[in-house]
Amino acid sequence: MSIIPQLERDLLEAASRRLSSSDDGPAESSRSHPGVRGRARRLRLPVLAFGGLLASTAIALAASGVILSGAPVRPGGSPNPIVGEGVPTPGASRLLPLRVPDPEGGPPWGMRIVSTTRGEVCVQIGRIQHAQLGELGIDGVFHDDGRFHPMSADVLPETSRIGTSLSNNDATESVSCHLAGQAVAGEHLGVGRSAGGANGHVQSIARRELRNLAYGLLGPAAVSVSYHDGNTPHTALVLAPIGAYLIVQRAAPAEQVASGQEGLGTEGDLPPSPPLTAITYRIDGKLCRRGPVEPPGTAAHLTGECPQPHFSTGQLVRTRDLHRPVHVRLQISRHVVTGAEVRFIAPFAVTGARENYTIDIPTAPCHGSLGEGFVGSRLDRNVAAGALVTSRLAYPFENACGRRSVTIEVRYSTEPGAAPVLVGRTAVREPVGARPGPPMRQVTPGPHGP
Amino acid sequence: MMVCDMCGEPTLIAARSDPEAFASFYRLFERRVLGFFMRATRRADLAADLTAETFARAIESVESYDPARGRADQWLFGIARNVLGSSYREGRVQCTARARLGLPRLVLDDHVSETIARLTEGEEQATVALARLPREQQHAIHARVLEDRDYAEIAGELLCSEAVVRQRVSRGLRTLRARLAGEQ
Repeated sequence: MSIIPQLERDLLEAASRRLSSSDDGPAESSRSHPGVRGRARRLRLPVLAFGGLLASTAIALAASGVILSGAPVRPGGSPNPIVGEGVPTPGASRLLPLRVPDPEGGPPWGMRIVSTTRGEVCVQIGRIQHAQLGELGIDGVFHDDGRFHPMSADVLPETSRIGTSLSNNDATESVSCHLAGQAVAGEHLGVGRSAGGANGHVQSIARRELRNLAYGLLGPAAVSVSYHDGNTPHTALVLAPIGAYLIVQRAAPAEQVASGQEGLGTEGDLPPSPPLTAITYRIDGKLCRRGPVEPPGTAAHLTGECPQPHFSTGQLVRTRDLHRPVHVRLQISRHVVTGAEVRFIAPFAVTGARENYTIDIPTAPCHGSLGEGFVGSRLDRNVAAGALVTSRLAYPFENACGRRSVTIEVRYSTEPGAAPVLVGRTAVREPVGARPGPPMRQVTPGPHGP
Repeated sequence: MMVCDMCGEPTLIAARSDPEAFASFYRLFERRVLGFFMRATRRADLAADLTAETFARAIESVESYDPARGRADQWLFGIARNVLGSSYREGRVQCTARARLGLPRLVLDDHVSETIARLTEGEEQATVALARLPREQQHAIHARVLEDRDYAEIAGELLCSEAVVRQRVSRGLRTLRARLAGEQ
């Protein structure tokens, strides 16, 4: 008997739905449209067969040092210096002297640190030729032209910042951004060996031709990282003084492709996450090792274990309320509520990714529910203090539990760790006679129904 | 390759193709994950939501779990740590995986909330008292009492005899009982 039987049932149904959908195709993206799946696969086959030939050729040429250069990689999306991650700060990008061989040979893998205009640091991973970071025209990338495509230092391809949704689910996940000053240890699983965006092809590529990339910036206290390659343990020194490391391995059979995770923390405190098994730090002049986060009550059997870091708690609940006015105007078209426009005067400036305004709709108590969190949006752009901020929300009554009014809150937060400030809140009522607009998210009913 | 039965590995591996196995995996770790989040947030509702998000992410990535790269419980708590970290950063409980999977909103009644809140009752005292024990006694108690492992296995790992492990556990527990009783 579980403590939360509802959650157990929900997870069972979600696992059933996921399994039944994955039975349709071994590695198709869950975002693929079911109706076009078969056609897309048929169209890809000849391209992939041709690509495989070119891939072998490109890698063989590269092994002999003769690989032609192609068109440079272009930035993804529409980069804006004051929105999202921002754009690379001119002259602030650095190709690290890390060179990691690929299991099949060819240009080695390398890593670049890109500082952005919004105070983020992006770790960009690619193949290296002639001291340039780039992508290979193989596996569906750059029309399988077999060339090396350099990535200029002022280009930031589509990023996979943790916490944001990706516009697609393919191999473009070889970039990740975090706030400057944070230690990071992450991995990208099932990335194309081209190091570039495979535009969905990666889902159809054999696992052994995909790569798992483990990377990190652990800070000046880090000395080495330990990991397993198959059953063989390895320890590698990190690149001082930033504590950088990069590990490239073949993807394992049956491994999920184009996924990843990232652990963030303070320098010297960050524990290892897979595939790392331990990180050796030098703290107060002494070498010590930090193992993975153990389940509560479990002993970490590491010798020379580092002292436990101090984690602060309770930051989720402390909030200061400024009681500033917040204005909401419902957007209604032909009696259908299509969204809401929220306006407020920013009491504080947002000058980078460290600060942000969020517009939240707290979940209403529903049949005894204590809340799922919030629905809402993040501003993710720079704002001057005193500026009028206008932001649009989708249909705001989705989680109103049948009530016709919701509260909309504007919060300001500085990251990481500081308690958010409640700028103001206002209640908004759904007009009588109005019909709900499209839901903010699609819920696909499974065999048991959601 | 060694498979760690107590760490949920067989269950998690089975969960790749059997939803019921995932439900078993949930039951196996529910209490510990809820306790982990209770300890971090001290709120039953947040602990429940963070737990839901953790297991939702586990469903999404169960296919990528590789026993060669770590135990199932370490894998799960790695996800839990990420969920907690990103929730702190965002200032809100993460719910992206739940949304993708279409999980409905959690409904907690008072009984469930109280049960969750009680998971960490008295734990601080015991943790502090445990940390004050000699290191070899801490290891022995962790392995025997909290991990429920055999004396022979612990002895092999600590390179000592079973009798020594039994003695360390016994002495450690006696000291703990005495200290906790003295503090009440």
